[in-house]
Amino acid sequence: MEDLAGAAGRIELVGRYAATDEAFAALTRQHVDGAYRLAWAILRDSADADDATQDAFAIAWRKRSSLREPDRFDAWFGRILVNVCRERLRSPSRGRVRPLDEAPEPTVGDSSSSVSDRDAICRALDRLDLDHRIVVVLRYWADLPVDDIGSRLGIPAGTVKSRLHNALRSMRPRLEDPR
Amino acid sequence: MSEHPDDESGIDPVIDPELEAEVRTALRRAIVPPATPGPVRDAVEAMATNHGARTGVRWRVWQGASALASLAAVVVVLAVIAASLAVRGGKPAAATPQATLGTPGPVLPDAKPGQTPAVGFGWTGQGLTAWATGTDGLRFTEDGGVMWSAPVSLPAVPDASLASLDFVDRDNGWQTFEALQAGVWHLRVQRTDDGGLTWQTSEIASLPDQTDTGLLTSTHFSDASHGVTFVSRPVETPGASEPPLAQTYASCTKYVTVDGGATWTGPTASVCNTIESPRWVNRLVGFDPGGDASSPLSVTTDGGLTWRTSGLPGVSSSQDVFLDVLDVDAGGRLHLLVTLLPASMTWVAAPLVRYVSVDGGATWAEEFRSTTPSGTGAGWMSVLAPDHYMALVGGLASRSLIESRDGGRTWSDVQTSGFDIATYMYWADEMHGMLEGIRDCSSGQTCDTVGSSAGGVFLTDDGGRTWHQLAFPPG
Repeated sequence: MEDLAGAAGRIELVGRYAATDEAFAALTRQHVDGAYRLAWAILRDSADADDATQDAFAIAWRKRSSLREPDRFDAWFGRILVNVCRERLRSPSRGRVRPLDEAPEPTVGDSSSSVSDRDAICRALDRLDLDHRIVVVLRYWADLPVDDIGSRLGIPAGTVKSRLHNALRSMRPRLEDPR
Repeated sequence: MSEHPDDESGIDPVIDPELEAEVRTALRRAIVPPATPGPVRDAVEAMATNHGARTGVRWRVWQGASALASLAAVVVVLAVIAASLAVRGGKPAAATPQATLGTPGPVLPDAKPGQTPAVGFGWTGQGLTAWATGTDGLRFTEDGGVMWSAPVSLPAVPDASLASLDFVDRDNGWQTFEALQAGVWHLRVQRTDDGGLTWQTSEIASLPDQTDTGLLTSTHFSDASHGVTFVSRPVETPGASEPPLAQTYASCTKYVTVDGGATWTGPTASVCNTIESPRWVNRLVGFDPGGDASSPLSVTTDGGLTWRTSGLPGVSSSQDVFLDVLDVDAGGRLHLLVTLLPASMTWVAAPLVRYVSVDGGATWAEEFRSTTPSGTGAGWMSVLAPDHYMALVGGLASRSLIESRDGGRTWSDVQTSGFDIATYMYWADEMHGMLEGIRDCSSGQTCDTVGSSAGGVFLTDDGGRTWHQLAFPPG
């Protein structure tokens, strides 16, 4: 995922300005789109993604002085963002029932295999608990390396792999038989 | 849910590459995020411009264009002189009304050029007295928004993040802020007892910065003297080299003041389960929803000093409980409306269950069951009056609000206009409410500047039928 992977120019920017507020402001601007995309991918709800993105940046601003290694901004901010998304998934204020026009198309009677596939993968993903769901999205949607995921989650790479293994094992039958 | 007992053994498991490829392809096909909405981009830009400073009771209420701030600072100096005459006398400014409510017909969603959109708003809990902030300062109304005082400036909080602003009446208010200095978080409060003309600063607590995820704080005053501040710190995972992602904020303490915030005692252990602040029904009654099905509900009826924690009967372990509103009837009974969902999120209408407590939240009994309104994404729910609830409906411009007048048994649409999406809503009484309304910039509308076009504070005086954006001065 390009926006959160840490482009060289971004790192240079941080180093040049030694994480002053101006440099930090520039970084936040550069990360808006990537942050929103990842939040949406995890939450799959526009309103929640809106809130999570803003919450993450607000927290980042509050804690900017704790960014002791500026070239780790991506991992530092990525952890904040994913943490906010996780809390939001657990939060009672999360939207409970989606509007019908935002819901996935029904699979029953639908002749479109792509719609059916999409429905199946979303349902399989929803069946996972939060920790597994987030790891799957970070690995297979955001395309982050296992070590990078571990760094962001504060867990060993082996735990990331085991969660991926367990998640895929759980998802397999639902992908093969999406009913 | 826990279908996957976590294997933390560290032994590399074999992952089927074909299945990986299938999941990767399917996910990328299924998850296609939309473009970043304009209001989100604007909000992040506002934070960048203001270096993270937040304004108002909800920082997500769109902040006014920062370019106006410097000009406003000059204006404020002059305004304070006028305000001192208006506010010291305890009366609204004798100027023309600063906002007009109740005009029938479509409302105007945008502040006009030269107007200062309100960026923060709060009911005090005293009748229709409310406060509002804009880039030119703080104002008060005592009639629900028809007449407003001249603005007074808010004290600066240099090198700190404003955490909250609140007034319990026209005179007594507080703004709290957090400053990280030399590895120590300083939680401070500025208090006023003269409607914002003078402010005194005191420290609630100073806490070493333990993690790079910092603190979560929430301050609430039940009257001019009594207040509590809740401080949540992330829970560390032993052995983890870095603060974990999946941390919770269950480590919660509270600090108490009985002299209006001049001095504070604490910390003492408290209930505070989630990243969200406790939600307050009024100055004394509030609830902390807990985080999920395993986290208990906590209720306070004394302004947060003590909490009663309990589970809800009839909820299975396979269900997630989403607490919607807490309602207090004339007899002092508490009514709680919750949504029950299967532990995995679902797309279907879900059961709504109303519980009643006759012992201040210590125990609960089921009153009745209904269902969430079909086809809606009911979000933030508020109590207008006993048994009269209103809920925001996300993302549907033609159907922004729904309401129930029978405690959640049945629901009907509320026809509104003026905003596309509403995010928060608070009511002073059955007719007077406020919400945070946002234009949906992704739908092709022009949303060029934060606070002017993208959204703002909207008020109603007719039970939510018409809404008017709050801006100063009128015109």
